[in-house]
Amino acid sequence: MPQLQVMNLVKTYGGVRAVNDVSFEVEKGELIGLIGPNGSGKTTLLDLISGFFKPDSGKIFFEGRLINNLEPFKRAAYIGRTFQVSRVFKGMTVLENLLAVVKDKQRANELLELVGLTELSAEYASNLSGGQQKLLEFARVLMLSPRLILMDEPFAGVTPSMIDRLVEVINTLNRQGITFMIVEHNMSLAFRLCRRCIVLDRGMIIADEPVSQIPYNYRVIEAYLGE
Amino acid sequence: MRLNRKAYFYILFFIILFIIPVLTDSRLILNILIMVFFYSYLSLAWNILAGFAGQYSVGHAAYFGIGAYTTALLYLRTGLIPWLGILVGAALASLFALGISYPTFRFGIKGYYYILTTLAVAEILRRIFLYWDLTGRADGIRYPLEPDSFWLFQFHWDRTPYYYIILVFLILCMFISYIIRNSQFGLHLLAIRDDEDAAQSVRINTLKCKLIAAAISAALTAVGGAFYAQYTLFLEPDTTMTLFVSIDILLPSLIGGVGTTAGPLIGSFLLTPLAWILRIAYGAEVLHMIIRGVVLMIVVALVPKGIVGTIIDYYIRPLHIKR
Repeated sequence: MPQLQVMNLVKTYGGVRAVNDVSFEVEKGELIGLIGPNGSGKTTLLDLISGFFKPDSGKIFFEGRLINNLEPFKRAAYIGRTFQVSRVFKGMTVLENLLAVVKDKQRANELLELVGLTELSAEYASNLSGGQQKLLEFARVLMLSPRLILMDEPFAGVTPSMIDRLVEVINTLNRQGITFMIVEHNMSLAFRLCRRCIVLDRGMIIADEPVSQIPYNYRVIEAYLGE
Repeated sequence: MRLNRKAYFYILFFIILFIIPVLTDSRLILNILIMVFFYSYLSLAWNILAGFAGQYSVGHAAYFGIGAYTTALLYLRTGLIPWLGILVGAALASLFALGISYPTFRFGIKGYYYILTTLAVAEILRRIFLYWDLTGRADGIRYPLEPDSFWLFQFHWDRTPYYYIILVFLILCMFISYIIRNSQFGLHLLAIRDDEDAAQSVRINTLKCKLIAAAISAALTAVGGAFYAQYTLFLEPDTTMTLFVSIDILLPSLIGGVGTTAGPLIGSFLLTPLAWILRIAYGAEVLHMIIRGVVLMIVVALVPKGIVGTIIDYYIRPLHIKR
């Protein structure tokens, strides 16, 4: 049984089909890249899976259970999610951002150590740089120990040294069995990190194959470079 | 339990406030301080929903009115002592808040729309009370004068008991506010205020949290309304439940600092005496409202986060960076 199963998902805004009949499956422990040109529906797809949008039609199953009508906070018990523009709780300190999720100071400190924010634990989240906010958001998601993590451009604004560290953390967690689905614009980074890539264009899946084959897929080249 | 410097400051501050009636028997000073505590209390209650959870209500006059009228009517019609009437009023206001808030929050009414909804609900309730025989219609209801009694919550010759009662109410409200702010529930409210979608993404049941905050805020506001009923011994919808009552409730927080515990207190200490002094000096009801409007405009323009919010931004947050 796949961990995540998306069947014929459709989401329209006015006359635009942001997600158009999308179907795919994700096995437990996979590390999948979700790529595509701007406006191809990547973030909308994450919003549908995490429950922030309701699909017009189609079904989403998590570990065999239909979750279409489950509210986002209930899905968060097993599906973690970070946002394209980081959405930390700016009126709280870094540590409070984690304690708001689960009141476990030891775990919070461990996770801050993991993402390299220990020194800033008493700092207000609004004072962090964009990259640091991305790291904080990631640590916040990990507080819930989710089984699937959806990450929307997790490396945007993160320093190169921190990117290496983040890649290492993601790989370590992935080896422990956590599934990742990562939206990433930086192709080399996506190819370095992921083993499989789903490519979206105008709301539709145009490729779903191992990373090694993506650069040779003419539909992907066409989507990015034009005919 | 170790107390921090802030706690020692509050303890000292409240000890001074407890001593004041011993030092002076000026009815004027006591009346002004009673009103300062009263509006601090109400604003703190409002602050739980608006400041912590970020749900800006301009309809708290409805909860205030429910508390005031319930206590008064229960005493007049059944003889129930006001202290028990206060509890019934608080429970009713909570239920009313839940009844209004559930559909509002469930269907995602936020921001300006939420403000307008609360305004409309309070106005509808005021209209109902204005034409309802039970609430005395536009004439309102008047308490019979009873001998001074703690149980009947009436003190005519000496205002000091009112002073101590509202001071204790204020301390309790500050304590509740402090406990909430420093609890997991408080962090959930702050998370909702900062970013509701992000809060949901980390398993916070935003609907439930907002409903609890609304119920607590409404109950505390109703207790304030009951105090008002006992203090003035006269209630009418046009003075107890208007938009101006709601504005008087939220103004100290806006000026002192929304979302802080000290803000409403500081705001009320600045605003309430100013209103009284202007009333006494010029006698005109309009003038103090104009001056207060000007003060509000200045605060919004210069320190939009209120006095305490600005102090936090400029002095406390940068301090963290230096460490």
